[in-house]
Amino acid sequence: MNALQRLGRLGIEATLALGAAGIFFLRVVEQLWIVVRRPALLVQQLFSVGVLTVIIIVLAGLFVGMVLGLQGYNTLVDFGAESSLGLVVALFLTRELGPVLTALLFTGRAGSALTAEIGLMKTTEQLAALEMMAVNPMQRVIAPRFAAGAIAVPLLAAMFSVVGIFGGYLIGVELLGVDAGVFWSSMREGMDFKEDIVNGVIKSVVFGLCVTWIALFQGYTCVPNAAGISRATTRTVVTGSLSILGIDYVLTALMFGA
Amino acid sequence: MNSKILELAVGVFLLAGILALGYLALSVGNMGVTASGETYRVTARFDNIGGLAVKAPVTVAGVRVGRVSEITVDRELYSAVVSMDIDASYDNLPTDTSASILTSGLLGAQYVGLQPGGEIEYLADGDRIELTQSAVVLENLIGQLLFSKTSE
Amino acid sequence: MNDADETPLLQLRGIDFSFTARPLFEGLDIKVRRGQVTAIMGPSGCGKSTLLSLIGGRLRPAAGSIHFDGEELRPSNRQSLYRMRRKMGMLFQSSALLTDLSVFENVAFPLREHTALPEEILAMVVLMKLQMVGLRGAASLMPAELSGGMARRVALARSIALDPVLVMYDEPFTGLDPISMGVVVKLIRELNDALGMTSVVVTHDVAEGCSIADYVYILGKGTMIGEGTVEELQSSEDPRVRQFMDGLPDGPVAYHYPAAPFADQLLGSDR
Repeated sequence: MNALQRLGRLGIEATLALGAAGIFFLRVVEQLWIVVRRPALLVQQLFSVGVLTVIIIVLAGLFVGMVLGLQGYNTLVDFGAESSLGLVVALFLTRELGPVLTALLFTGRAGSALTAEIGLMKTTEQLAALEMMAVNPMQRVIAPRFAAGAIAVPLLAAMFSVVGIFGGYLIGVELLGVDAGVFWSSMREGMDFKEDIVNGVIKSVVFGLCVTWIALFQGYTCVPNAAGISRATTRTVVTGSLSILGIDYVLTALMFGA
Repeated sequence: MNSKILELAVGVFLLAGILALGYLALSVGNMGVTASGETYRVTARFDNIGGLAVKAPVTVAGVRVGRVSEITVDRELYSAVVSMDIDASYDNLPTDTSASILTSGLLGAQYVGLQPGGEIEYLADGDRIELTQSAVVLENLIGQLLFSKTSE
Repeated sequence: MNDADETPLLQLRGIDFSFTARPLFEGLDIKVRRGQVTAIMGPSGCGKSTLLSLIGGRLRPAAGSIHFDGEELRPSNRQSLYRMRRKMGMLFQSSALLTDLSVFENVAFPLREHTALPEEILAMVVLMKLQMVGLRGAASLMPAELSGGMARRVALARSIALDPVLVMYDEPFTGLDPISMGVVVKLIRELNDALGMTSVVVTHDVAEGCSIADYVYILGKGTMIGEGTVEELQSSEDPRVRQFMDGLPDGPVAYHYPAAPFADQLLGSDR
């Protein structure tokens, strides 16, 4: 009975949290016009969530592309199909690995930082101070960060894919001797603009919105003390990562058929 | 000055991101041929399509001219009806063109090869290709071989 | 000036408020007269900071009304609420400086948000406010480089940046060394008199509170247990007021948290 009660309470609490997050989302969207009126706020945030994340994205993209090149080659060569290496690498990157891994890395690098920053601002009464200065923190603090996250993730994902393809090229062509022309032409032949590129971009936009939303919500609603901030940061990474993977399945099923 | 550096960094970031998107779209993506370009649809009836799948390439002399868009079963004849979207720029395929299901490599993916005939009339949207050759199913081939060996 | 029928700057009438089932305030009445320093004193946990949140419209009372500068405070109407908040300044216990901005930018922040002053005039106003708290020389420092007392003075300069009519101080004396505390006590009184502002000081430091207040409210569990000028309260006979003013460990506010009899618990009969 006790376990059942606890399960019930867990369910109710989860539903409450979802509702609160939904209201939070609407309140942020309501204030988004600020980034048009004061682009400087957006630029500032694009720097901290976007520019500072580029290095990790580029390095990760390069390594993932190189692994794809190596693994793809070793598998394809058994079927005498190593000429499709370029296609395999590019498809994996644009459809799945680019958007998903970028979003996961973004969660760890920028999402956790957003949660900690907002949580600290709440704990040190900075958000309350803004309110008392008749400045809406939703507008001044949350909305620019939300917009920056949603813009940065698709761009980072595109960089990830391009660098990854280059990494696959390095291994496949330069190291393992696949013909460069074949590598590029198989890619060009097999890829489809709408099917692969557009769908990949749609995915990364959704991931970016989702992760930034979770990170900001967790920071904004954290228990205002040190333990609360650390718990909220952990929750951002865990919920963010799981949501990305879950949403990825749903989107993939919708786009490419279950 | 500090804000100038910031703006510069963000500008470079945005530019790099947009260039990456552009690179993917232009160099990798196949913007033309089948996805957004004009196509017309023809169908062909096969006794057996083997492992042919939707989106498989349709080729003429090895050059890709379209893709398989739909595969259904004819309810009366129990044969497979394969619909193909052919790029509109290849609008000069004769009506007696034949279609065969081929395999790239011994075990590779299957695709539809079109063999143009000699008629003066050309295939148009909704037409049916009458001359078809089914897929070669390896199991059947081996079965036939064994059968002919034992009957000798 | 001190007519009895003068309308107070801030008036709370019949405020009910609770976070949980246990009511925090029941029928609370407070009047803050223009030009005065009003101290609200009470033990920790009696809801003093909550009271400031109510006045600032960050929390909504379950019943009762708050009138500020001739207008009713309605937290549901964001526009009117923000308009009224521009006439209020608030000094937070943690100073609440924006950590990524310098001292100068912190004080400039409300001006940048709410006015369109040209840069030179803005700099003049900011330096003037910093001069008042004696920190003009620290304008380029970051909040992390400030001591607690300096941070509180910067926050004070920020809260008066828009020349508010009312300034609220949340525990302004807590956690300061004697010198900084003396500085803050002096500043509150001076700013109040020199700039013609009205001040509400929430504190549990009886000595400092009494040294600057014109009028004092003592808040107990849920209700006001006493009010009056400092002299009136010091001569009060009310045991609850006496216990607080004299800092007695036991009295109407019990030393022991409510518990079962000690002997019972030791003998294990009540577990």
